[in-house]
Amino acid sequence: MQKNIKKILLIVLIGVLLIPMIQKIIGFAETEDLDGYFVETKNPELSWDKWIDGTYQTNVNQFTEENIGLRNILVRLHNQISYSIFNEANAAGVVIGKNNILFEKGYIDAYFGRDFIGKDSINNKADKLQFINECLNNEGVKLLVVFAPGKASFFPESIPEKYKSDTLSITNHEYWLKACKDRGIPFIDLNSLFPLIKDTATYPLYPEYGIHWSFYGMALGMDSILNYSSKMLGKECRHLKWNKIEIPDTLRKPDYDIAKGMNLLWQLGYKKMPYPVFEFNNNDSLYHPKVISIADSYYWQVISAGINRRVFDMGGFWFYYKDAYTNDGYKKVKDIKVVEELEKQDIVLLMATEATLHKFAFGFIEDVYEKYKNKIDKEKTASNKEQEVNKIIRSILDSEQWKKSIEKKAKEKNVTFEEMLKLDAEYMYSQQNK
Amino acid sequence: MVFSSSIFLLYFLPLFLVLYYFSDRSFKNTVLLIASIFFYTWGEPWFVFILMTSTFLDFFIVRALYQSKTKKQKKIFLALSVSTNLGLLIFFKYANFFVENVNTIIGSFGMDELEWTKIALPIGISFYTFQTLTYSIDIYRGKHKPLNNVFDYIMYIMMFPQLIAGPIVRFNEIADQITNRQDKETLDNKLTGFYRFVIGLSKKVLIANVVGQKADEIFALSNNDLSTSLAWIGILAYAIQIYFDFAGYSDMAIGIGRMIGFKFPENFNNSYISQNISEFWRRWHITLGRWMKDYLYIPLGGNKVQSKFRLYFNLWFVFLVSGLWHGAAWNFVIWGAFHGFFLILDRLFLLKFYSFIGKWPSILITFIITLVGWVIFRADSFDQIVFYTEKMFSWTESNTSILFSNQFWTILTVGLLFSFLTAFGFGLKIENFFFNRDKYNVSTNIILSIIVIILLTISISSITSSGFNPFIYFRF
Repeated sequence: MQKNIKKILLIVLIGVLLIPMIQKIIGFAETEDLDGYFVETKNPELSWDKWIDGTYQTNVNQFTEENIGLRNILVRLHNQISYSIFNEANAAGVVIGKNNILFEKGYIDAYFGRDFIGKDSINNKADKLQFINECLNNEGVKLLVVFAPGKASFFPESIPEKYKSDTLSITNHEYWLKACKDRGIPFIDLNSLFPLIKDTATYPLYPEYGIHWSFYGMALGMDSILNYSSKMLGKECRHLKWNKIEIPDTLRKPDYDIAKGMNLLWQLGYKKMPYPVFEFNNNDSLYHPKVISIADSYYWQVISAGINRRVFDMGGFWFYYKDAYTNDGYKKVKDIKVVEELEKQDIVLLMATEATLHKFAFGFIEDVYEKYKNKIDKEKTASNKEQEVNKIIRSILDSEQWKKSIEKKAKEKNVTFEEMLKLDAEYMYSQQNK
Repeated sequence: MVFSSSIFLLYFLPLFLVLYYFSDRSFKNTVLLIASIFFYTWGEPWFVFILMTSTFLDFFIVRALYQSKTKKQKKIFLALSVSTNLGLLIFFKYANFFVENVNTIIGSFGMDELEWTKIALPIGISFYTFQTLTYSIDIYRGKHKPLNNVFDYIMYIMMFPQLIAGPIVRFNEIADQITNRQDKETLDNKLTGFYRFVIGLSKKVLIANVVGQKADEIFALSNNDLSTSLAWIGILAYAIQIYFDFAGYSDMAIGIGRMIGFKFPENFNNSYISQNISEFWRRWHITLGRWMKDYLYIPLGGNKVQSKFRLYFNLWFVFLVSGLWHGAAWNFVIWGAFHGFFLILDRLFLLKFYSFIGKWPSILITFIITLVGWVIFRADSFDQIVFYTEKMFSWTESNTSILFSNQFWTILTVGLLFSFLTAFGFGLKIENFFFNRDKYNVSTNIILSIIVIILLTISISSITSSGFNPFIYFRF
């Protein structure tokens, strides 16, 4: 009897080692995929060279590690242990704050100015942005900078002690505010506004487990932006209206996105969140501004709420100034005639939160500045040419001999005297400017 | 293939065990040999040919040694076997080191450096060499008859549980088990072997790996960034990492060995509770210490030499070689000399001093000496040895902020607790229960199996998660 029990125990123990392999073959107990961004290893191909130099074995080791049976459960178990026992998250840059608030470390670094790119750098960018602003204004387009709220600025009291700094450095947000004020660049500072209305807001402006503002927070933020837009354009634009706020039992995307990326076994307990139900009236006579938004991921909620389609006039979204979501579908920004497109708008909206301000406005400023500079230089060159050619024409007309020579050439080439005069003057200009 | 990888734990090991247990007795060595060749080939697809050829030749050289009639002939064959095996070790492990040093010297005289293509160090070559040496020397000394079957010999040398990280299993300790281990292939041994394997795996994965990350981070700091407190945290973390890593690996090897009927010698015995450095070397990497004693120290004359100077020279020489065995770099030589120095001091006066101050202060002083030794062992350069040791004892601070997680502190504390637990009577009892019992009753087996399944699952989850640290939100 004792022997049999021991035999069973040995079979069970070896069986435990075999379970993942059997699961991989049979496919029982399939579980939800892991969340987050990671690079997957491809199944390696066997060749003699790869075997001898060991790359095949290394790749198989890596591939096996990523593809063992029940891996999702095992990873979730590991993460759950880290979270439940050590209060730690196994996801890149996730920080577990006080009062169950989850942060991304980039927000905390930005809040304490650890990612400050320097005054010179911001001044340089702001100068270029001011130039862009003037160029756009000349075409009747308004530029609006929006500082979206950041989670660390919103919940500074929940930042864990070990992530705090003894000395506070100037932040990108603070210096960008100053730079915009000094240069008269229009802006809305939701990052400063949200903490001020945090205690008086009817509903939470930020979720505990999400990276971004709450749906309600986004609605308030967009309402401010629309009001400001009306003032800027001098026209009454459409407003955001909601008469109903749903408070469902489950959290909607993206209010749980940090926690989801932690890949835990069990869902964290959460407070219910409000989701305003917008009313869009397509028949009102209010103005639908044409808006292009160059923004970080905070703008996705604006898109998912339909605001860009229903309040703006089918506004485009150039995500990180790289991927463009336009009326014509998805494009790469580099494939778009940027200046032409910008000049068709009423408003160009640049939005970034504190964690992404160190790379504001994601290449837009540098690129558009260069484009406008080139355009102006070309215009200047064209205007100079015209003046010079006219000067030459006047010189030709002042000389009888030269005039006769032109008349002769015109007869020979069978063109009018005026045409030949211009051709000759342009030829001379090109020779002078070789 | 390392033991703490999914491919070993979830594919190689269970498939090998199933095949091994279901094989006829006469095929078990063949199964073990094939598995061992595959195991080694996975990591060393090229060197395996050299290793097998040299082992094959060595078998016949030693057979000739055994069959030789005269002492002179025996010596010739012994010299041939030893020089073949040591030659491989010297070439593959120390040639780069030798050429680098020669180039440094001739470079300082303004001469052109020697052209040299660096040789990759084959996995486990140090352990392989020491085991082959025990075979020829034990046969020469008449401690045991040689094996009859060349494949049994290759199996002994290449046996996967202990080939790449020990313990160093001397031929005379295991010779009989190679040909007949029926009496040791019991259910109790299989179960206790499994328990031992999982305990070793947990030591490696759940303790050593966790503290090792921070040790690496701290040892990467420059002189200006390192503070006294960080230096102590770093070296404590490294001490726990190296102990639990190496002892854990030995536990895994001993455990697998026991599961297939072998009884490998113990390699660690609570090293950090040593009350002097001489004792430390009876508790740390025991099989290496014993090897050095029996195959180097005693042939040099051991304790039975006429002058104390010669005795101290022998001790120091053995430790220099021991240091060099760990790696072809000067810091290992210095580390060996450092330990040899304290061994001599032990004999001169330290042992008397320790017995005067008592157990706990002796353990503390010995542990601090060991930690300084680990600085030498772990450092990347001579400069780092100097500045790191200076920082440890100079009480300076820096502005460097390293974030220590709750997990790190907890695991470091657990590691230190386990390291010193057996200095207490109750700790020794706990250890005897888990490590020194050959069998348990059924109810204890059930409880231990449950504990082992939990530890195994947590360890595998940790291994498979180690490379999984995704970006929640991937920005460009």
